[in-house]
Order: sequence, then C-alpha cells, then structure tokens
Amino acid sequence: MTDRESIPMPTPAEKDRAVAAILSVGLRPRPTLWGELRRTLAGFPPRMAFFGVGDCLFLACLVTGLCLVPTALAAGNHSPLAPLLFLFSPVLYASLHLLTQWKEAMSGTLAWKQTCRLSFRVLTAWRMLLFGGAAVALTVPADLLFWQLSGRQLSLLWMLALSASSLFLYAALTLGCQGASLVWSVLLPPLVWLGLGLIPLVWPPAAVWLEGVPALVFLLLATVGLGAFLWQLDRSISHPRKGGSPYAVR
Amino acid sequence: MLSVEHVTKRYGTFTALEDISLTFTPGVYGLLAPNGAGKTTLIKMLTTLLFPTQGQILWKGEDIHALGETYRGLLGYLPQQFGYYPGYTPRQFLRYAAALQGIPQKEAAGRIDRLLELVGLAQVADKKLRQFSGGMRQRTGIALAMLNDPKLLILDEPTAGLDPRERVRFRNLIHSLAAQRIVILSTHIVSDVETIAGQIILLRDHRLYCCDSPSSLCARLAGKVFALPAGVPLAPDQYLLSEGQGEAGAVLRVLCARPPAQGVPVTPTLEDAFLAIYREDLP
Repeated sequence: MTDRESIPMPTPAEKDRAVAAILSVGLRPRPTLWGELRRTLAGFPPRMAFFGVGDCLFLACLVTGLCLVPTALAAGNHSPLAPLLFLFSPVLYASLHLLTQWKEAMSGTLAWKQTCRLSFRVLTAWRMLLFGGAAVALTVPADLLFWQLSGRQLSLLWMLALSASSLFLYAALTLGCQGASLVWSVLLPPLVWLGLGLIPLVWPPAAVWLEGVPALVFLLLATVGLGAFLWQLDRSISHPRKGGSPYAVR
Repeated sequence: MLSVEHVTKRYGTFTALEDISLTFTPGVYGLLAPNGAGKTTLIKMLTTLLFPTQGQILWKGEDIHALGETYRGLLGYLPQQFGYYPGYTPRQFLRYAAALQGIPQKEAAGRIDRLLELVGLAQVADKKLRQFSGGMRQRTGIALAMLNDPKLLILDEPTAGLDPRERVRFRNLIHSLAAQRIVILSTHIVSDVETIAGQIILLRDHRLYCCDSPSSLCARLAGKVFALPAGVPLAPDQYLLSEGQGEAGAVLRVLCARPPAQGVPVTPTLEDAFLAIYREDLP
C-alpha cells in the first residue's frame, strides 16, 4: 500500500462536524425581531429613539386627551359604549404613528438615517412597539374610567377585550398598509377604522350586535391582531428591503 | 476597495443604469453627468438605499448588503436633499447621529468638537439649525457624514445652492478629507471636481462612458477646441461649446476637427470635455 493510500479518511461523524463548522461561519443566522432589538439597542440611549419627534409625542397626547373627554362624557350619558371603545382604543397609537411617520417623511432625514450603522428598521420597529405599549398602558385606566362613568353596565373584562382587539387589529392594519404608497399607508388605516366605527355609532342595531359579541371572541381577535403585528414587524427585520423603511416595513 | 460589477438598475421597463462596472481605491472620484443620467441612482445603490436589478457591489470582495451594518459603519453619506431638524443645534444633531452610528457618548463628544472645528462651525455649535445659511447646513451635513470616520465618503450634489465662496470652501474641505479614504462626489457642476478629483466617472445614455483622469479627458480634445470672436457664423462641422468674455469682447469656444478661420487654439478644459461628450447632436 502506498503512503497516499494509507491516509486515514474522516469518519462520517467527523465529516458532519466539519461541514457544520463551515456552515456556522459562512451562513449567517436569520435575524429575528427580538434578537436584533437586543443587539442593536444595547448601549443606545432610549431618549434618542424619539429625537426630532418630541412635538409629535406632545400632539398625540393632546389628540388623545381631546378624544378622551367626549368619549367619557358619552359614557356618562349612557350612550352605546361598544362603538366608542372601538373608535377610541387605537387613537393614541394612531396619532403617534401618523404624526411621527409624517414628521420623518417631511424632515428629509430618512436617507442618511437609513445609511447609519444602527439599523433604522430595527429602531422604528422598536418605536412602534413602544407606541403599542403606551397605547395598552392608556387603555386600562381609560376603560376603567368609562366603566365607572357608564355605571358599570358592561363587564370590565369585556370592555378591555374589545379595546385590546381594536388596538391590535388597527396596529396590524397599519403595518399591512405600509407596502402601499406613503399617502395610502397614512390615510387607509384611519379611514377604514373610522368607517367601521361609525357604523354602530349611527346604526343602533349594529351597536346592539357589537355588545352581544362575547369577550372571548374579542380576546381571540386581540390575539390574532397582536400576532399579526409582531409577525409583520419580525418579517420587516428578517427580509431585507430597499434601504430599510421609514416605518419598519416600507 | 469598492467594486461595482455589472450593475444594472431597472424600474419596470425603464433602465436607469445599464451594466456599470467600476473599481474604487482611496482617492477622490468625481461622478459627473447631466441631470437625469443616473448619478443619484448609482449613489443610492452604493449606499444600500437601492438594490441593483442585476450585478453586485462588493466591499473588499463581500456583498455590501450581506455586510449590513459592517458596511454602513464605514460609510459616510451626504444626500442630495440633506434633511435636518430646525429646532436643534448642530451639536445636538451630531450627538443623535453619533448614537445612530453606535459611537459611545464620551468618544462622540470629542469627535463632534473636532469636526465642528474642521467645518468652521465651532463658534455656532449651539445655535439652532434654522438660523443657519444653506452653506452652514451643508457643512453640518459634511460633519455628520464624517462622524464615523468613514472609509467611504459619498456626497451627492453637495454644492447645489451654495454661493461661490462656500463652494470653494467646500472643495478645500473635501480635498483635506480625501487622504486614506474613497471619496465619491456626484455633481453636474464641473468646477466642483476638476481641481480635486483624481478620476472622473462619466455616465451617458445610462451607461458608463469612461472613468479617466481630468487631464486625460481634456487631452482627448487637444487641438480640437478653438476660440472664435462672437458673431462669426459657425460652419456645420463646428460645435458651439460655450460663450464667454475675452479681453477683446465676447468669445465663442467651439469644437471642430479642423482649425477654423479666425480661430485661436485654446487648451481644452474639463468643462469643454463635458460639453463635448454630452452635446445634443450626438447619436
């Protein structure tokens, strides 16, 4: 036997280990939303996420306050609560999202931001999660207030379930519309929501039907909405698009 | 080293750029072409804002999109429309940009001070940007693009809207920044690049026309550019490049293969080369 023929060949296990080692270096792991958030935001000052849009945060809170007052008054007058909750619940999120998206587009800063080291897609995804968190944080005390003012006619759990489903489905709709042009992505979600919310407000049978929907159905809808929202955010991170996007998807 | 390999960009049936291949090494490159030629499209692909339809762009042999933040971390970019927040000072704005570049705060403070000094804005570092002139805002943009000490600096029409003094100041600044880095300056203003660019990239009909030094481009027209007194009728084989004022009155610079009567040969400039290459009567 020649020297060449006596060279020991790797065993199948050694071959598999070698291939796995090569692949682990060459193939980058698929980026995920939470992984990228952890990695990107380590050391990033939280206040910088809202640099340049502080006025939008103030205006969004103002708009929400302006919507809260008539809603509370209507609840106190024992008006149909279900359509009011449906319309009010996404107001803070919608205001934050629309105002900051408009400001970012008008400021002309998107081009250079999208070329910075930190992924602007990840930063805007984080911003949207914070908006959603703020909206959820507002929903609980707001619903408590409406529940009290309305004389506790409806179950608080039912009200919270309806609010959550309205908020999360709206948030998912805004992300779903981001693939459209800027104008449609801004206009379509609030138009759809207003249209849907006005129907039970002006047509009493629809309000009665809405109040008859069980809390479990709203909870399921909330779960679907939240899942769709998070899935779309995750997809925006893991699927590269041209130069990132102004709001995590475009 | 940055290399562009057979890059094509199409929008539906419209081809913005066709089969562009270029290699960049440290130095200043002028990307010179008329409006609508595809300069900004190429710039946007180099800065990852657009994906090529075909071809690839490589940094040291690796695709820039695959490199992701590694590539963006060595890139400095001043876009054509430089946006800013009017209610903030340049110092605040640069601190924000430093955070987006992942630069630690302590390190960022020192860099910001040095850059503001470099671009001549140290005295107004704490004034709101809304009080700045166009030139001052552009200088803020340069400081922003230089914040991460980029190996690749891309400036898209950086002197648009600047007065002559600001343009000269800008050219001097770019020239001082060009050591050890690739600087790509996209412009349709010839004077912006003729004194500082080592290589001029010309795009024509959505394709790469040439990539050559300014002196080589001018040498192509050697013996073909002449000065004629204004009022002299042009022959069919004479192409008017530009008009100007000479010592004895208005003068026409014309391009022609044979010396015209009353014509005085002149040294071709880069502007002559630009006008000759992009003249409208060429097929």
